[in-house]
Amino acid sequence: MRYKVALIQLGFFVFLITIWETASRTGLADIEFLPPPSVVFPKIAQLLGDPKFLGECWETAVRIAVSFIIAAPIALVIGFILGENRKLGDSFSPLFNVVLAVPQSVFLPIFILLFGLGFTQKVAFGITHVFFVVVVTTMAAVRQVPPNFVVATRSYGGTRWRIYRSIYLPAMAPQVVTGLRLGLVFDIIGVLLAEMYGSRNGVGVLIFKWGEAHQTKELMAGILLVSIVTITLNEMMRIWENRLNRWKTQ
Amino acid sequence: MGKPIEPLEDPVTMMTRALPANPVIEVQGLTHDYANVKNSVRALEDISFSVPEGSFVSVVGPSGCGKSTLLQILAGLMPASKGDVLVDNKVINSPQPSKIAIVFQDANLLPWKNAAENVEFPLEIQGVPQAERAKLAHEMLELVGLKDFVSHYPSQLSGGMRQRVSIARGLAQDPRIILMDEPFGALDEQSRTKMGQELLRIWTKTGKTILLITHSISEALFLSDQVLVLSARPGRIVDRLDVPFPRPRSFDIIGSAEFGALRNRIWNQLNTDDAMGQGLEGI
Repeated sequence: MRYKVALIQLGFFVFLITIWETASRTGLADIEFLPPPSVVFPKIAQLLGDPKFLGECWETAVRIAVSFIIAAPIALVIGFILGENRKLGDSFSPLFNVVLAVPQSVFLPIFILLFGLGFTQKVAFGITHVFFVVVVTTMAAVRQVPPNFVVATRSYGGTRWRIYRSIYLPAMAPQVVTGLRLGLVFDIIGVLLAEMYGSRNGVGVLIFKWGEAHQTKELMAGILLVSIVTITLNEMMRIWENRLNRWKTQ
Repeated sequence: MGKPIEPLEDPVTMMTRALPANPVIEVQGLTHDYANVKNSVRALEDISFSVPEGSFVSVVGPSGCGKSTLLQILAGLMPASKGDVLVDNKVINSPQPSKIAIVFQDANLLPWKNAAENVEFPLEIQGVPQAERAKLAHEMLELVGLKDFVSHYPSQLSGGMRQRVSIARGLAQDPRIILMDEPFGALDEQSRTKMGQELLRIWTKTGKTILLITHSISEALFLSDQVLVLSARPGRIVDRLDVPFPRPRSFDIIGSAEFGALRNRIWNQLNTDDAMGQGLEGI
């Protein structure tokens, strides 16, 4: 069954690539704007062998990692406190939900004014992208911990610490990982966006420049590469998530 | 933890259970009020009873008779406004897992733990060594007829099986008394009847003291040595009756005139007291 699904997915992927190739080759799509895969794929290989390009990737990766490592733990703690403490949670959760609904991209000019065009601006923009979504999902994860499990554990003589470890942790884990996964995806969006509109280096600015210069081969290769990396990260987190969720379907 | 499984007693000695013995649990003048800023609501009023060692006592009452309040106080999860709960002559004011085990309404198994791990969980908290608690869990699951399901997860078990695991978990704690909160309420009629019989078998085999809280008058009568009838808000004991049927009991007694008379008596107690709340099952 799972083999079949994988086969269908692979088939669909091959199908899309074929369409793309044919469209570019037959002139259905302008080859100037959409170079065929047979041109783009070798370009990806070439970029991966280019130390200058890899250097830019490294810059971007460090920004994403640093902002995630700073934002995620703080957001987890705040989300937990807001979820555990009903009064605090009810007071502050509307604030977080409102901020989450605002398109953060419009704040980019403010970040540029505040932090300039360097490392700090990118990391700060990444942090705000991770922070709010992780706070909100963690808060929701705390609130769905079944109170019956807590009462039962108390009746077995379990301490507060034991309840957190043996009930909260496993009950919250799948949802928390979902939050972290979304946080990481948002982080990548935020950092790349910040790079595209106000940066001296990084993959974002490179892709933006290729676009401006009509270097469509490099542009497509860059876009595909970023997509592949992001999808891979996302899927890795999802595998982790499913593993934590296993007992639900067992 | 001792030896949890005792040999089957012969039916003659089992009859002595109905005779008064040392009370395992004694409840004295329990009153509880839920108070907020504006007013206070009385949930329980002057509840007193005692449960003799090895006996099976049921508390029957309509919804809103303060069942869950009573349960939480008895389990030491909540202090009462007035009155005391004594187990083995000691006042209970905090959870005492080695004295009182609870079998919860909806089994309340942790979904990420399999049957054996669920049974082991209270023991783990009490610091029972791994090997010992694993052995105990297997013994208890075998006792409740789930020998072949030790590594099944709750989602793979039926409602009745989950409740069996929950009973095994209570037994594994080797408590002085097992408190059951409407344990078969979520089951269909057939499973419910079957689980009642199962419970009697397990009770006979282990000799535990059981206090069962239920809506069902028939269930209470069929299973118990003594039935306490609780009225609706505030919960008061309006009747207590000794169930005269000899053990082991068969389902035939349910059809007997005597059973019917007792059932009517309880039914009328609840009626006259204007306590015929919703959810009371007469049959």
